[in-house]
Order: sequence, then C-alpha cells, then structure tokens
Amino acid sequence: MGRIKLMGLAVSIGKVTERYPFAPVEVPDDYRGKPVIDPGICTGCGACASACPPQAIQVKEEGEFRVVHLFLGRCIFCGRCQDVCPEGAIRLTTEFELATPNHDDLHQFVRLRMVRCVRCGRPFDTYRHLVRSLREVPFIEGERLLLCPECRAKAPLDWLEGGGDGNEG
Amino acid sequence: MGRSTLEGRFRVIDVSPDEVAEVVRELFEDGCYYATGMGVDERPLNGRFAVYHAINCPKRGVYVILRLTAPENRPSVPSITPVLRGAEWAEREAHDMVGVTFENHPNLERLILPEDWPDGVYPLRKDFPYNRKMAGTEGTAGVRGERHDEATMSVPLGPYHPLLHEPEYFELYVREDRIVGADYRGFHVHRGMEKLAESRMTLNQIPFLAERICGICGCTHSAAYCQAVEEAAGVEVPERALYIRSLMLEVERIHSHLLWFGVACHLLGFDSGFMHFWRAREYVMDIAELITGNRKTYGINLVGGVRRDLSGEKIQKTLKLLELAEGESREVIDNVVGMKELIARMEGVGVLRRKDAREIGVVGPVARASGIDTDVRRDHPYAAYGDLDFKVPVYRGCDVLSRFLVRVDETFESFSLVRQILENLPDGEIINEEYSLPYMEFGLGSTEAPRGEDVHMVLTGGENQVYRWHPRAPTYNNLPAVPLMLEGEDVADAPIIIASIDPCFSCTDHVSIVDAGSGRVLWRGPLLEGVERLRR
Repeated sequence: MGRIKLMGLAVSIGKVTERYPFAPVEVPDDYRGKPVIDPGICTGCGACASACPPQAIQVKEEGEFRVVHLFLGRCIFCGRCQDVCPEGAIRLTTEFELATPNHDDLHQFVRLRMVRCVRCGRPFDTYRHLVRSLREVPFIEGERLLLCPECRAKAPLDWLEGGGDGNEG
Repeated sequence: MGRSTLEGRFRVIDVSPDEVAEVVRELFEDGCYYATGMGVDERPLNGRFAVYHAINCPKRGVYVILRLTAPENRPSVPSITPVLRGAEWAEREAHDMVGVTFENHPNLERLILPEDWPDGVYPLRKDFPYNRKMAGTEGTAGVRGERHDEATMSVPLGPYHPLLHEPEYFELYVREDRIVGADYRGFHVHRGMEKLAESRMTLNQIPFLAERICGICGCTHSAAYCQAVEEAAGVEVPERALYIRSLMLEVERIHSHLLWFGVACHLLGFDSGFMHFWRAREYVMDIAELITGNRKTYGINLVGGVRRDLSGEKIQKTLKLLELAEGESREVIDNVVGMKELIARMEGVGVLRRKDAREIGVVGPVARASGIDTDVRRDHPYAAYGDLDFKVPVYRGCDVLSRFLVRVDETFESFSLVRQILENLPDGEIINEEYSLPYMEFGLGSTEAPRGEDVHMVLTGGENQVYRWHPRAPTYNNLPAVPLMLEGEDVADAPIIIASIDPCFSCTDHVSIVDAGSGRVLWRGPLLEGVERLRR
C-alpha cells in the first residue's frame, strides 16, 4: 500500500528541483562563501595566515612590499581568518559561484609597503601595521618600534631608558 | 562557565606484557569491547615505543586504556588479537605505521601501507619527515583469496564502492549465485592525516582537518577531537557551547540517516523512495546552513567551545524547518515500512550474530541491531547528552531490517533531541579560550556518530601542537563484520548487505571522499560485470 500512497504524494508535491542556475539560490546572510580581503584595511600582520588550516593565505616579503596572498583553490571556507583578523579586514561573503576558466580569478594579492629599520635599513614591517602598533604602545617605547626585531634585540640600553624588556610590537 | 562533562571518561593503565592478555580477557568477559588502538613513537621522551589499547566498558561508563611499551632495539609486544579479535586491525595498523611487532598475531599482514611500500620504513615514527616521498619497490602480491575450488567463482566488488563511489575492494567467493566467503581489502586512500596534523598543523587547525575525515558525519569527528584535547588539557567548556555541539551532532545524525534510507531504497530498486527521503532531508540541510553557514562541514567546533552562537530568530526558523522535516520524514518512512516487497528484501538477510558482533566490537546501529545495547551518548555522556532524554533503540533481528529499524527509531529520537536542546539552551559564553596546553598529556574523546562510536586519542605536544593524534571512524570497527554478513547470501543481496553498515570506507582510511551533496553517486548495473573465473 505504501507504494501507491507515495506515488500520490509525489503527484501532489510536484516538482521540487530548483531552477538554479537559471534562477538564483538564496543563502543566509552569514553564509561562509568566498573570503575577500579589504586592501584598504589589511595591515599585513599575518594572523590569518597562521590560523588558516589549509595554508590558503600566505604572507611573503617581496623587496619593499609585504604581500598577503589568498588562493581560493586551497580555501576550505572555514572562516578562521575572519575570526582572528584584528582589523576586520577579511570577511567571508555570500558568493559561492567560484568556478572560472581563468586561474587569476582565484587569487587575491594585497601589497603593502614596508618601512625600513632606522638602524640597518632593512624593510621589516608594513607602514600600516607600524602605525597601528605605535598607537598601542607608550610613546617612549614607540621609538623602539622603528627598529627591526634584530636591531631591537641588539639596541643599547641607552636607546631607551627604563624601557625594560622589549615590546615586540 | 560551565562544567566539564568528560570527568572520569577514561583511565590509562600501564600493563606488563605478561598480564595484558589476562586483563583483556577479563575486561571482555565483563562486557567491554575493543574500541581502538594506536602505536606511538615515544623514543624522543623515553627511548621506547608504546601501544595504547582503548577498551570501551559501557557498563562502567569508562574507557580503559592499556598502555604497553617496548624498548627501541626490540619493538615487540604480545598481541591481544588471539584473546579479542577486535584488536586485529589496530595491531596491524600499528605494525605498519610505527613498526611495533605483535607476537602471536594470527595475521600480521600489511593493512594500510601499499604492497610496494619498502620494508622497514614506518611513516608515523617521529624520525620520518611528513613530506618525504618514497619510491615504490617491486612489492609482493597480496596474500588473500585462499578459499577456491573448481566450483567457486571469485566476484570482485570494487575497486570502487558500488554505492558511494568510494574506494574499497571486496572479493566475493560465489558458488551458484550464493556467497560462500568474502575478503576485504581497503585503505586505498590512506592519506596520512595523522602525520600531517602532528607535523604541520596547530591545535585549532586540526578540527577542520578532522571534520574532513567524513563528508557525511564530519562534525562528530571535530567534536571528538576537541573533546580529546579538552580532556587532556582540562579545559572547561561553557554549557551553551556543549548544547550547540549536541545540536549540530543531532542535525548531522538526522541528515545522515535520511541519506542512508534513500540509498537503501535505491539499492532495493525503489528509486522514488530515495527521492522522497532526500526531499525531506533538504530541510535538514537548510537548518545546518542557517546555523553554521554551510550545508556540510559545519566548522563549528574549536577546542574550548563552538564558533557560532544561535540567535532567537535562528531558533524560530530552525523549529519551523524541523517541523517540516519531521512531518515529511514520518510520512515517507511510514509508507516505506508498509511495503512488503522492501521488507522482504531486508528480513533475515545479512545476519550478524550477537556473539560475533561482540567479539569484533561492532558499534552503533550495527551493534544495536544485533541486540547489543550500547550508545556512547548514554554510556559516556558528552556535550549536553547528560541533560537530555532519549531512548536507545535495540533490535534483536541481527539482519538488514533490524539495522534499518534502529535507524528509523533513532532519527525520530534525534528530532526530539534537537527540540529539547532548542527549548533548554542555556545562556552564556560559547567558548573558553583561557587554557594552557600541557606537554605529553593523554586525552580521549568519543562521540556517537550516525554510524557508531567515533574515538579520537590525543597526546598533547605543548607549543600549540599535538604529539600524536589517532582518529578512529566507526566503520573501522564495523567493516570486519561484513564478510560474516555476506556468507551464505545471494550475490544480488551483497550491495544492500554492505550498505547496511552505512559504510564510510574513506573515513576508515582517515580521509574525506564522500560527496554528501550529490545525488548521483549511486551505482547501478550488473554485479557480474567483471566476473573473472579463477585460474587454478
């Protein structure tokens, strides 16, 4: 008997297949879709890269620039980058149609100019991250932030009177 | 801050090689069964290899972990397989991956490593780099398939699973359409997740890898991993987080069982049943998407709690979808159970006797259909299950029909559980991130996955890493029972018998392959295709 009832059910329900891709499919607002970095906010701190389970985000240094590279081909859309970003610069969007014939569409690069160490001249941090750090440490320690980590470690104590042990910034 | 529900979940006992067999025998006679085991290279700490046997004692609500060690120059411990055959695979795996020899093991063949893997190279030893690539050797032919005579045909069922497009290989020995024996060869897609996690990943990255062990029941793996670490590090998990975990685990169970009913109908030649079930399941997928941001791979668990909270609006929407899902599922199931032709295909087919089930240590619906009253949610309460009311269905038919009926009852228990959780959701935080990771602390997390008991063992490594992580999916324990179920059955029943354990071959291999979202993963075609008469 079950079979006949189910046939009746199928007729009364009709077609349930969605019209997609000829009609859009709705997803919730906080859907975990394509992650996008806002290049105007990102400081290049690398928190996302160290949290990213599949290493889809990598931070590299290229001369004067620090480059945050997001490759969607590795992304698992977990959204950990969004969780850990201190600036709110990376967000998962509701976009999920990522198939493309163009490999470049799967990459996002954020290039951030770096600041040189006042002592050795080596580029060591992005301007934006440094400005951000300067806002958060006392002025007197702030001067130390203009040194790269190596020079900071070697800096004579008189550079910073009473500075105590170094703030990593 | 809430409480840790995991208190006293396990006890680690160092045993001497002389007494281990006796201890295991006593535990088995007391109603315990073999859950899982792992080999650990502890040489950097103490110059020894260790084997951890995890034995589940449901009656006492505790896992007994028997720890055996052997010196570096003679890595050998007595096998417990002769006493408890459930240990066979775990011991072979430890032999393959860590290079510990098990004395008196009846069949210490390779289980996981391929035949052309060089001898004496053990990938889970700490001196083996995770990214080393090995050149294959000539290898030895597989040693299996001894049960042949003139009248017996060998029917290969593989190398892909006929239902799920998963890699597996069953060799059926058939006489006049009746199966007289069967062998299983798996682990074609072992990808070394444990090595990857131990070498390259940090503590809170691993839940996302664990979740990808299974494309159907991944949340249960990330929950078990997080519980293992929480147990090792003594992390207090907020109550609200525990409830949200239970919520997602039950949503996962409902969608998994509805998926399975669909697959079972399809295999029994009832495709419209398959479509009706998957139609009902769609509401459950919408619930998951609403709460976690995706239909599958919820990504909700982290060590210490969960990542997403649940607003009042979402709760209301979830309750509406739940009502639709439950109503539709009830209607379809009631009609399907009323179809005599379907029931006849399942009744008395694929029998697994209770005694065999106990010895092998089968878990979940397979155990409960063979009269074994076990459920991790009740016996070792985790997440919010200690506060919730649910029945554990047990059937004694030992056949495919019983496995079907266990899942039917369970599905509706889960609907009730989801409702209880949403109605009693406590307020408060959803994650506790204030903890420190100890060095070399053991932790065990277990959950009742839709397919049965899921066990993760962890040894913490300090420095935000794990030293050893061993996940064990339920199918690992259920698969060795399939050859027994197949014996004496018609070849035409083999697909539904294999499917009756709701197998996850790739999960057993510690990798993710199943595509839960696609309806086109099902196999149809003549089973005898590829039949090859043995030349002997």
